Amino acid sequence: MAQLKTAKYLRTGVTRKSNHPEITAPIPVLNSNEDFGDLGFTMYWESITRPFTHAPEPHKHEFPQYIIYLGGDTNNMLDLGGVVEITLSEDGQTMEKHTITKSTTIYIPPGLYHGPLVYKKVDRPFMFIDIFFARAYERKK
Amino acid sequence: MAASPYEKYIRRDVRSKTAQEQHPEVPGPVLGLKSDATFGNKNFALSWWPISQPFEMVKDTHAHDFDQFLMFVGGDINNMLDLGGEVELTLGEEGKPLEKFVFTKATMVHVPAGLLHCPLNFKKVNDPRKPILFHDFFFSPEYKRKG
Repeated sequence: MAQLKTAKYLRTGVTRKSNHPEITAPIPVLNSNEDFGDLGFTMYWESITRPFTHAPEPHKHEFPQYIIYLGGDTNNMLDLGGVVEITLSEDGQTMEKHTITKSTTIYIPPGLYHGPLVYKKVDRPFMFIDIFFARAYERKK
Repeated sequence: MAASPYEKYIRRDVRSKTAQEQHPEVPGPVLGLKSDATFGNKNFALSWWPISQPFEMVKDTHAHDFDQFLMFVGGDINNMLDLGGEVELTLGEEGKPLEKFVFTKATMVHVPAGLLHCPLNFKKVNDPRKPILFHDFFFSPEYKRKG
């Protein structure tokens, strides 16, 4: 494939390192950097196989992010197969916990506090997909 | 209980019926995320397609005025690097010969505005219980081909 002129438009088998010991399956990643569209976003896919706390602290950042949970039976992704709790807050004071039991997409605008992010129950592995629109992931205190 | 003001950040109905209707060869639910004015306004649409049987999804070579990413991962989510099948995709720059790629591993394709692409052919699915998970991610409020 390497000899083809349009090979620069494809990336095969690219992964990133897991930041959590609980996440052990390979993590495919797409980074739209200057060589790949330059749209300034990163997207990656993780398999959640056991209950744990993914992000213990409420935090916010200056870029928009999408957090997506889809069922791991890819022929029936509507069925999440687990329970996720995510806490959101606009002011960092009033914290509101949301329970996710179905496949769901969540938009985190710049400045919205989010976390803790807790996997309460995993009946079968489900997908966590993160898309953030930033050159690098940086939290804001 | 009154609806939370934060519910606007959460979409719990993710099924994309309009996408699903385009391809009867895909029996499993097709899901979607649209970043419109009420959901981030990033001007993109992303859809998830479980490909559980071989078929040619897009026949005609075409281009459009916006950026698109075609993303392929394995439907066994504990081994997403292995597609569990074989995909053929043709790409070509304007005025140059078309080139066909064949891949069996997780692959991300950037289709910039103007790049000719397709046919897109799912040649082989090893196990229909572990489909190829295809993602269509395009940066435009609506999908429109050029020319």
